[in-house]
Amino acid sequence: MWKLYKRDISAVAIGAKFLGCGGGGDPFIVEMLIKSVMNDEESIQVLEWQDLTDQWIAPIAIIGSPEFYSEQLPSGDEGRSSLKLYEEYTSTEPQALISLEIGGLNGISPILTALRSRLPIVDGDGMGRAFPKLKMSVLNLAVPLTPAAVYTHNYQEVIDFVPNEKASEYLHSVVQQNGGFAHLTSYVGNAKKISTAMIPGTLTVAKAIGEIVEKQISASDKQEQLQKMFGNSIYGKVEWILSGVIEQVERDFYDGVVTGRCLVREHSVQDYRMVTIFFENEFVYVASEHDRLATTPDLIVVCEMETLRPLMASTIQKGTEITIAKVACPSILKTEKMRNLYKRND
Amino acid sequence: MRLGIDVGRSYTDAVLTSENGRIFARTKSTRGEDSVENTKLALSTIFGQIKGNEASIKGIFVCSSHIEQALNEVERLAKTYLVRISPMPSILQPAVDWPEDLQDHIVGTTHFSSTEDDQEWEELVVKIKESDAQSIAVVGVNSPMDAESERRLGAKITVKLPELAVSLSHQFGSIGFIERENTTLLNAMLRPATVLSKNLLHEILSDYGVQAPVWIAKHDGTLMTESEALGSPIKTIASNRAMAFQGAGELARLTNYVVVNVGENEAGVAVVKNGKVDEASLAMRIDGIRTTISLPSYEHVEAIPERLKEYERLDIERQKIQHPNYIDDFQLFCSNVRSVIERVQPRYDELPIVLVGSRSETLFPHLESRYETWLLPDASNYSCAYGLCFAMVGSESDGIYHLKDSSKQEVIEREMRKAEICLNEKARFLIRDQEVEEYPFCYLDGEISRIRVS
Repeated sequence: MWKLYKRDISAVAIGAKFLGCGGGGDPFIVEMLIKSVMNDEESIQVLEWQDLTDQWIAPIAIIGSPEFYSEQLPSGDEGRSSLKLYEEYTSTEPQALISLEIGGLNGISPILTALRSRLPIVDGDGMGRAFPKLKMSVLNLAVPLTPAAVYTHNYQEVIDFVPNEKASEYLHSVVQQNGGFAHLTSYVGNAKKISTAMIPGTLTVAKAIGEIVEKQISASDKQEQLQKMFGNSIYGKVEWILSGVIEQVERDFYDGVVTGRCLVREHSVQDYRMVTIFFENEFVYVASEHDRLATTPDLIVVCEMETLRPLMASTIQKGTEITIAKVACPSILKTEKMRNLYKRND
Repeated sequence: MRLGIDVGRSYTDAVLTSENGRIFARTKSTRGEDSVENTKLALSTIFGQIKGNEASIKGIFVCSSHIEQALNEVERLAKTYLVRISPMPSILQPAVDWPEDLQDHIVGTTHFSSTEDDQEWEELVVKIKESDAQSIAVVGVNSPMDAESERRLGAKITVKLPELAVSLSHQFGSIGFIERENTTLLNAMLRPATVLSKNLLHEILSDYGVQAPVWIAKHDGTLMTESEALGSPIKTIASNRAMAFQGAGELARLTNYVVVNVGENEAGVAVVKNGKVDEASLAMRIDGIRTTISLPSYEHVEAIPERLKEYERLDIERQKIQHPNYIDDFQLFCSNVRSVIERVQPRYDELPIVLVGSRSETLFPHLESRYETWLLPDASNYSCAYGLCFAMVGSESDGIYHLKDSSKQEVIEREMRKAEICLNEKARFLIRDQEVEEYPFCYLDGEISRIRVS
């Protein structure tokens, strides 16, 4: 068990953005919300894997478009309202919160809810990165998605007795008709079940990433320290694929996601490569002319070259100098069962 | 004739050119830290040289770093009152991670749920009066999509409290509530300082009997009218830098080049393509604050402070023995600049390298190499003032659109026309360089896109 203070929030936000692989929304607005209400002395209890005994654990998430969420000026209590909705429907009281995906905005949105409702938060999450569809969470292997409480300012509902895939689709349509985003409490379950499926320790990893990235040291020292840190975590090896400059960005809108690619020219004195990064909300695929360099579910992270601060797929721009990293994902994401969940349009 | 004036922190450059780019007069005044004195001196030198011909000046182009200065001298900033328009209040504090001395300039915040509510309005007026604010920032949710409520409230405030300057957030485009609010707040704080410097400039000009339209440089290296600059001073931030990069091309008669702008103790390296510097990133930071203003992208190389000045006087070979450290620092600086240039050069079709800035002449002999084309144009230390005289007038529109009823192409064309109309009202110029950027969103009924035309 450890404690999270206000001074740690920036680091966690940067780490969450890093693990978001360019998607999942910029945690910036949630970071500002937390900093608005948290005192310097205040702390949030963080439960580690060994602290999970018999608690009832609720994953909290914002689903939909992070851009709209950041434009709507959130009141800050939507997460708590969604949790309340769930509590009233099921007559249970969750004793801890967990992030559904550590990548992006949802990496820290449960911290805000935990702070507002005075609950501890679990050091871990339901994906180890960011992901586009609700059904893809590893928690899917342990607990059902429903009952799920969805809360928007003008629409509240608890859905129950619906198979996971249907629920996922239905929630998507609720979001589309209600302003582009919603707060969701789903995949709620007993600690015994959740702890078997969740990716443990990811909050610690996020905090460590943020702390390393914000250090006043050179980029290569940061790379070395990140490598060491990931080596001691549930993630695998870090590979620094290349450093270069973005020459071209193409974005399009396809089947409900922002897709596109960007062309990167490697910085090198003699030999150089042109590399293409493909994205579908997140960065999904990196290829050179002849080679496949990285694919999901491994984490593809695009950072600013000088600072190693992570960049978002939705805002990368021509002319930016970047470093591309590949972080091997937690091995559970590569199992047969999880692979079946990624398949699209089924 | 055109007059370009570049007002920096400790210097003022003025250049008088003909329509086709010939320089008639140029001057640099560096009388200490006082930019007003510098400007007065520079203008008196220029006007002294063209006595009797003041009327032939057709345009005055000004680029000023006073915004950067004002942000540093916090006490000059205006006390600002923030009004938020959104359906429900938020726990979000304004200016959360700002430097404390800037935060103190926000004297009050009111949440406004509807512009129709009279009682809320009355309360707001009382609060603003009590707060002793000099400037108001109005930020509405969704204003890039629909700015109506912001406009209405802004107009109401102007009628009721005419002595206050009102800044509306939709002028600063772009999605992202916090970034837009930050930009609007900074802008509101800067407005009184701008009025002062405008009056001052006109005072000086009228002393010499010059009456010509004044254009102000923007952050992206284009120009805007004086009234636009008064309303949105934040847009002049970093304009010196953008102009110096573009001026290099005008001086060397190039449109594609690498530019090295050598200042007193730093150098900036940028790539210019088709006469334009790339923008850095969408969410840019000013003093560590996230804003919606996109700044020119360049690489920064720092020299040991205050040392570049010394090198001018150094006879490198002789001084190697006397001041070995100076030489080491200097050579390190040169090699840093060279490696940055190497990095930004395109692989094929290497671009010529243009050196400009106050210390460019000192550095040129030490940087030049025979493998690349190096240029030190005449008047290289006036690139900003010179670039001003030939910059384009810029117009930008940034909005979010439902693509339900019309196709993307239609919206883009409509926006282009809007930008063109803005331009035409300002002056009848040749329109070139239209740029369209698109940022699609997911998860909403019907396609919604952010479209940015400049």
